[in-house]
Amino acid sequence: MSADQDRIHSIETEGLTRSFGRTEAVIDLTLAVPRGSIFAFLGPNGAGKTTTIKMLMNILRPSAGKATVFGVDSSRLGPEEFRQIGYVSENQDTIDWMTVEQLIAYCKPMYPTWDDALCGSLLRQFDLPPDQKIKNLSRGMRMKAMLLSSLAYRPRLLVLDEPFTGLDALVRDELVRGILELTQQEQWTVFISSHDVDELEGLADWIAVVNKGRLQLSESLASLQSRFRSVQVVVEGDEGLPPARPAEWMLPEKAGHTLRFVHSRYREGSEDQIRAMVPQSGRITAHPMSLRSIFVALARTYRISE
Amino acid sequence: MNQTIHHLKKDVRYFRYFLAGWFLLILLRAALLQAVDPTVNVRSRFSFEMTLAVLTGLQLTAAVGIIAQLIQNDPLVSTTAFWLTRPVSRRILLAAKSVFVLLFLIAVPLLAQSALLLLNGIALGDFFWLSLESVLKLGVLFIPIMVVAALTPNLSKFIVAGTVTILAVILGHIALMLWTDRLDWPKGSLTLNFSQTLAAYLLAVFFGLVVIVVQYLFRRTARTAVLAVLALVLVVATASLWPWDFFQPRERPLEESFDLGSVSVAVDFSRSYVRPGGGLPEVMGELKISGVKPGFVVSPIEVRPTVRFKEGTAVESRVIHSFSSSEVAPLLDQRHRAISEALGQVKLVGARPAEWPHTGLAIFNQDQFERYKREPGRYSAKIEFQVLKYQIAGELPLRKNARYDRGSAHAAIESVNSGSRSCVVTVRQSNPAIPWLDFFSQPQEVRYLLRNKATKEALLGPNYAFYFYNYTRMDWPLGLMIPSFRPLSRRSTLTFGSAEVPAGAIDSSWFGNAELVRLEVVTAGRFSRTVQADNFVMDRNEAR
Repeated sequence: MSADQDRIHSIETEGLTRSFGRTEAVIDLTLAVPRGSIFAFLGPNGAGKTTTIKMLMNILRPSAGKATVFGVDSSRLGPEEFRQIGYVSENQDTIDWMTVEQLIAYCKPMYPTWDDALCGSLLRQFDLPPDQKIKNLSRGMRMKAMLLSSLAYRPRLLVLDEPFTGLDALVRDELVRGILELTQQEQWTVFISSHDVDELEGLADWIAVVNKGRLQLSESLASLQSRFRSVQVVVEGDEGLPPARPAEWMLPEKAGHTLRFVHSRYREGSEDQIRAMVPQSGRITAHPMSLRSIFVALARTYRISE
Repeated sequence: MNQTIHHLKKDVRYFRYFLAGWFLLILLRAALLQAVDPTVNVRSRFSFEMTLAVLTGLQLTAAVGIIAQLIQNDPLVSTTAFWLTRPVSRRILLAAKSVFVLLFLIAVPLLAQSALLLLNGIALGDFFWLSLESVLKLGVLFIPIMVVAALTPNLSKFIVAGTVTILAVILGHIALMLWTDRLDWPKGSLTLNFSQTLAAYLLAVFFGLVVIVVQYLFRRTARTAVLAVLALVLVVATASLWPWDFFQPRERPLEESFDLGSVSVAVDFSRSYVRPGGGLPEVMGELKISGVKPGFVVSPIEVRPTVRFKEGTAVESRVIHSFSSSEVAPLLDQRHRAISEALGQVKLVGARPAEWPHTGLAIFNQDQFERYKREPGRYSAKIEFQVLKYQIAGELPLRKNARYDRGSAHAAIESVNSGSRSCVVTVRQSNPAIPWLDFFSQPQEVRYLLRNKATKEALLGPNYAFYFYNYTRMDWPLGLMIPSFRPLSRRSTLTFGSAEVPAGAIDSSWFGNAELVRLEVVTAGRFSRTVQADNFVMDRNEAR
C-alpha cells in the first residue's frame, strides 16, 4: 500500500473559502472525509455544496484555505489523480453527439484500470442502449451513462454532485443500488451532495450539513442518530416554554399540555436535565430520529436562527 | 502521444462532415485557379472573381466555425466541461487541438497550393519561401480566432468578442493614423510598410500562441484576456509605428558606366497644378532630368521638399514614387532610349511620345493647403533617384510553343497571327511571385517587344508597360488562403503594330523575321540631388 492509500481521509479541507465578488459562497469550511465512507454532503439549495465540490475537483480556485484529495492539494489535481476519481454532476456537460458505445470507447483509453467486465455489467444493469446518442437519452439514462463512465475504472473516490435531481424514484433506486453494491465490494469513498436527504437515506454512513456556506456539522450517521432524539414532554400546568432553554433543544413548541423539541445532544441523564428545566413535566418520551427528521430539524433551526 | 492522437481522433470524428466540406472548398478553389482562365474576356474575369470571392467567404466562415467549435467543444471558460474532471492533461488537449488546426486547416490547404505551384513550374527556392509566407498568413488569420475561442465560453460570446476585437483593431488603426498624421510622423516607404506588416504579423503569431498556451495551461481567463488585449495593442501599434525597415534593399553602388557627373536635375513650377481627384493635395510640377547616359533610366523614388514662405514659415512634406507611376517625360524618353540600347540600338517604331509631363513634387495636408495655397514660396527638395536599365531576359522565335523558362517564371507562345501592319501574339505565362520575400529581387517591370534584327527595328506592345505581377492583394491574409489567390497562370494577348506605326514602316515580311523579346528592368544603383525653385505656388489657378 502506498502512503496516500494509508491515509485515513480521502478528502480534507481547512478553512476553505470561496467568494464571487462580494458574495461568499463557501466560508471557512473545514472537514475530513474518511476513506471508505459514503459521505453525504447535505444542504439546502445555494448552501455552497457545488462550489465546495468544484474547489475539490480543481474546477474553481479557493479564495482562501486549502483542500486536499488523496493528500494532493486540490489546485494541483491532474490526470494522475483523476484516473482514480469518478465525478458525476447534474450540471456536468456531456458529450452529447457520441453514442453510449462511443463514450465508453472515448473514456476507456484514459483509464489504465478500466474494467471491461464491470463496464459490460453496468451497461446491462443500467439497461443502457449502446448505439443511442447521448443527446437522445432521457435525463435519467444520461445520468446512468455518466455514472457508468465514472464507475467502470473502479475509482477510489466517487464524487457525486446532486446526482439524483429530477430522476424518478425507480431510476434513483437503481443508481443507489448500483453505487452501494460497488462501494461495498471495493471500499471506495463516495462523496455525495444533495439538498434532499430522502435520496441519501440508507446510503450514507457519514453526514455533513452546510448552510449559507458554513459547515454546521460533520459526523458519522451512527453518532448523529445516537444523539438526536425527538422529545415529547407532558406538562401538567399552563406554563409556556421555559424562557432559558439549552442550545441543544431545537425547534421547541408547545401545543396544549405537550412540549415537543428535538434534542441534539441526548444522552443518559438528559431526562433529569429536562425535568429541571420544566418543573411541571410529567411523562417524557424520547424517540430516535431518521436522517430525514434530523436534517429537517437542522435546516429549520438554521433558518430560524438567521 | 497516444493520448494526443486519442483526443485528435475524437475531434476528427465530430468534424468529419465539416472537414469533408472544407476539403471540397479547397478542391474547388484549386480547380478554379488551375482550370479557369480569367483573362479570356471581361465576363469570364468577372465570373472568376465572383466565384473566388464566394469561395473565399465560404472558406473563411468554415474556418472560423471549425476553429471556434473545435476549441469550445472542450471549453476553457467553463466549470461544467466534461474534460475538467477527467484525466485529460491540459498540455495534451492543447497539443490535440493544435495538431488538428495544423493538419487540416493549414497543411491540407498548403498541400493543395503546393500541388498547384509545382504543376505551374515553381522553382524549389520560391516554393519554400512561398510556403513559409502562406503558413505565416494562415497563422495570422487562425491564431487570433483560436485566442478568442479560448477566452469565451460559447459561440454567441465568441461572435460578440470577435466583432468587438475586429472593431477595436480597425478603430485603433484609424486612431493611430490620425495621431501620427497630426504629429507629422514620417510616412513609411513601401518597404517600411512591408516591414511593419511583417513585424506585426510575427508579433501577432507569437503573442497569440503565448496567450493560447497560457490559457490552456493555467485557465485564468481574466488575466489571460488582459494579456491578449495588451498584445493586441502592441500588434496594432507595431503595424503603424514599427521603425526598422528591414526590407529596405541594400545600397547598391552606382554602376561605373553610369556617368553621374553629367546628370543634371531641375524642377519647374511655372505650369504646375494640383493633382485632380481625392486624397491630399499634391502639387504636380515638371521634373527635368538631363545628361542621362543612353541605356539608363533615372526615376525618382522619394521627394522630400521644404517650402519656405515669406513670413518665414517652412512646410515640409514627402512624396513617394514608384517606377510604375512615373510614366512621365522625360522618363518616357529615357525609357525609349534605354530599351533601344538594351535591344542593340534598334529603332523603336511608333513609340508614342510622353503625354504627361508633370510629376508629384510636394504633398500637403488640407490645413496647410488652405492656409498657403495662394502664397508664393521658395521650394527646395532632396530627391532620391534610382537608376534602372533594361536587359534582355529571353528571346523567343515568333512561333507557337516557343518557350521561356527561368526559375519560377515561365512563358509560352500559344498563337501568332500576323497581318500586314500588325501581329497578335498570345502568351501564357506563370510566375507565382512572392510578395514579401521575393519582391525586391523581382524585376520591377516585364515587357514584351518584337524585334527585327535585320532592319534593326523593334515594336512595343500596345500597353507601354506590361505588368504581370499582381501585388495588389499582398497584405490581405486571405490572399494566399487555400491556395494562392493570385492567378497562377494567365494568358496575355499582345498586339504589336498600331495606328501610330507610320504607313509602310512595317509589313508582313517584317513580322516573318521578327522575334519576341522579353525585357526586364534591373536596378543599377541610387543617387540623390537637391533642387530649388523660386516660383512655387501650391495652387497656381487660385493665385491668379
